[in-house]
Amino acid sequence: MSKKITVNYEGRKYTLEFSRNTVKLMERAGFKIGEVFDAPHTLVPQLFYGAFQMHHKRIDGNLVEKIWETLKGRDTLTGKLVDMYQETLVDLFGFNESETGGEDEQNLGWTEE
Amino acid sequence: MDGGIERSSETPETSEEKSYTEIFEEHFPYYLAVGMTYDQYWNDDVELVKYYRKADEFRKERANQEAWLQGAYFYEALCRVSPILRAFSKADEPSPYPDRPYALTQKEQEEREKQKEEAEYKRSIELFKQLVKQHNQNFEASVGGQDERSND
Repeated sequence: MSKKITVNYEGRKYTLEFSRNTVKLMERAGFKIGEVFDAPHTLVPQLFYGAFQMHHKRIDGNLVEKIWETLKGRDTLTGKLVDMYQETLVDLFGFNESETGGEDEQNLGWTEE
Repeated sequence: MDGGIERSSETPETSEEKSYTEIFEEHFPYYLAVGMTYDQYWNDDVELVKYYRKADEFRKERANQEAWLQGAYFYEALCRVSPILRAFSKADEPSPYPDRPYALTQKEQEEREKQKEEAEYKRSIELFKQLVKQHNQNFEASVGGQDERSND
């Protein structure tokens, strides 16, 4: 399973990834992964913003919103982000990962690494 | 031995009440104990834990293997010395300790086998030479005896 997603926006490449520390900071700010699909309007942007924190700590929230607006396949992207977020925990227990993927290569504005 | 450190067997399914942060913090000491740094655990690639866990399994297997081997040497030493420790034993010296360690790898075993065969071959040649020498001496002695008798 991919651990990183790359987003290209206005000629700049952004790497989305979660570390345990970013997950900790997100939870401290009130984020709950289990409620993402219950309250997607508030939590999905938080999840997306949180994914920038590992490699782009000082990124502006407005820029993240703009990037989000330009992306296509956002439902799939949300699913990937949820998977990546959960990986921070799943890896601790050594469960076998099943390879996902098989998405058609399209110009979505983001790619898995 | 580095045993004794056990990871919590808790899984995400059994810890629904706990936040990810709590679970991370619970497991953090284990990963520190197996050599991960603070930064690797909290800020680095989340997959790293898998490799540290695997490395810890290898370390435990190795420690177990070494303990077993040490036990085997100890057992052998005890067996070799035990005859002289028995009351009324006629043995006055223990059997010598093996002159070299056990061959553990396939390569070492093959080398030992080869050395053993070479030593046996040399020994049989020496034995054969001695036999020939003895035979010649006997022959010369018998020929010499005949000559002396004929001279008489």
